[in-house]
This record gives sequence, structure tokens and C-alpha cells, in this order.
Amino acid sequence: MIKCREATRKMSEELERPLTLGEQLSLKAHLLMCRPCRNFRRQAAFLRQSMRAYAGTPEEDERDPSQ
Amino acid sequence: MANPDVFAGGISSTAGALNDPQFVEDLRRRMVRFATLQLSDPSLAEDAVQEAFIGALRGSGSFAGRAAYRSWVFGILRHKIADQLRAQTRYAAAPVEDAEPDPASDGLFEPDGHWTREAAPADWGDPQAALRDEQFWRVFEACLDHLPGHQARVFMMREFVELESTEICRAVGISTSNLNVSLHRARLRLRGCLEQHWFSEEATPS
Repeated sequence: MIKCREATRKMSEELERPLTLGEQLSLKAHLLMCRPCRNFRRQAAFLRQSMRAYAGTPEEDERDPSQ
Repeated sequence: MANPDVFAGGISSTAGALNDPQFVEDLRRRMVRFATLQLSDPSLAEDAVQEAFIGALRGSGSFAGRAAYRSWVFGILRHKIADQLRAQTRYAAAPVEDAEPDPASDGLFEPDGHWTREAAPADWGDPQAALRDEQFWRVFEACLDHLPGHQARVFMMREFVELESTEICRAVGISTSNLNVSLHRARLRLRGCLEQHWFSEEATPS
């Protein structure tokens, strides 16, 4: 049974690589029981989204016209 | 608030922003700091920032205000840095490993691996609204600035420059597991900082 520390590590890694089936299952089982970790997962996704917004990624087609 | 370039369109808004020395200086300083952190070479960083400004002057986009202009110029810099980092293999400084314990992120958990009571992530409700709030971005930048140098560097490479993990490992000269440790810590710290300074009832201004 994984604990919160390990679960957050997996949730961070899931943004970097596909988790193995075993990892997905143990994470899913943990999330069913742990509200703070469910919050963490949404927040990690929000961090990525806000970094993209900060970087102005939606205006991608307006970037460096000299390229 | 007198901020005419929000309402002006096209080239005049760009010129308006560029004619404000304070705006340009703040922007330049922020870009140099970011580029120096990413490239760990001050003169390469200066070059990249200059090239980004030249690229911006050549362009004639229309911008809904300074924030849009800022993210556009930053976007040009971002692409220059991505090219530079992809071209370099452990270019400048010796790699900084994040193998040391990091009390600020490790201390969020009890020895048994559960969240401490204070650190357990709260429900942020609908955080999307914050993305349209100029104040939020100030808090966001402050939280980014608060990350330890190495964590900030690889986190920004991943989420802002948008390099793949493998590209970052090659550019910085670290292992994948080392990168994952740093990204994990950076995410823990950042979400904690945002919760403390924005997404908690005590933090919300107004």
C-alpha cells in the first residue's frame, strides 16, 4: 500500500512518463482513500496549465515572425 | 488606472509599452534572470535576451496590453533558449544534483509517509479564475522565485521552455531519477506556496 509521499511522487512522474499498470493501480487505490492526494493531483495539473498560460502558449502562432 | 495601451490596438500599443523605460527595464531584468538561470552562462543569456528583443521589434503583432506583449517577447526568448539547450550537452557549469535532502519538501510528510496536518493539500475549488487575475500572476512569480535554483531551473525547462525530460537530462547532465526528484520537490513547494499565498481563505485579498 503506497502512502502520500510515494503517491505524490507517482503523480509527479505521471506528468513525465506513462505509469506502469502496477503503478496506476496502486495510485488509484490510494487516491480512492485520500482526499488531500486527490487535491494534489488536480493542483499538479493546474501548475502545468498555469505555466503554459504564463508562457503565453495560446498565442503560439504569434511567436517570432523572423523564424 | 491610466494604462492607455490596454485600449489601443496594433503597433501603437507595442510602441506605447516600449516607450516606457520602466516597463522595458523590468521586462529586460526578468528575462536576463530567467535566461541566466536556464543557460547558466551570463553572456549567452544577454545574447539571447537581445536577440529576443530584436525579434520582437521586427514583429508587428497586435497586443491587448502589456501582459500580452510581455508573454510574446518572453515566448521568443523561450524558443531561443530551447534551441540553445537542445544544442548543448552539459554546456557550462558543473551539474547541480538535487540529491541532498530538501527539508522544505521532505518535511511535508510524517515519517510514516502521510501528509502532515498543516501540509495536506486543501481543495482549491475552481482555480481557473485565478488565471485571469493580474494579482495571481504576481504571487505565482514570487513563488517561482522562491524555488531553490536547481529546482527552478529544471522545473522551468520542463514547464515553461517545454523541453522533454530526456532533453533536460542531456542539457543539464543529470539522470532521469534525479530530474524526477527535483520536479517532484518543485511541484510540492510551488503548490504549497500558492495555497499559502493565494488559495487559502486567509491569503485571498479582497
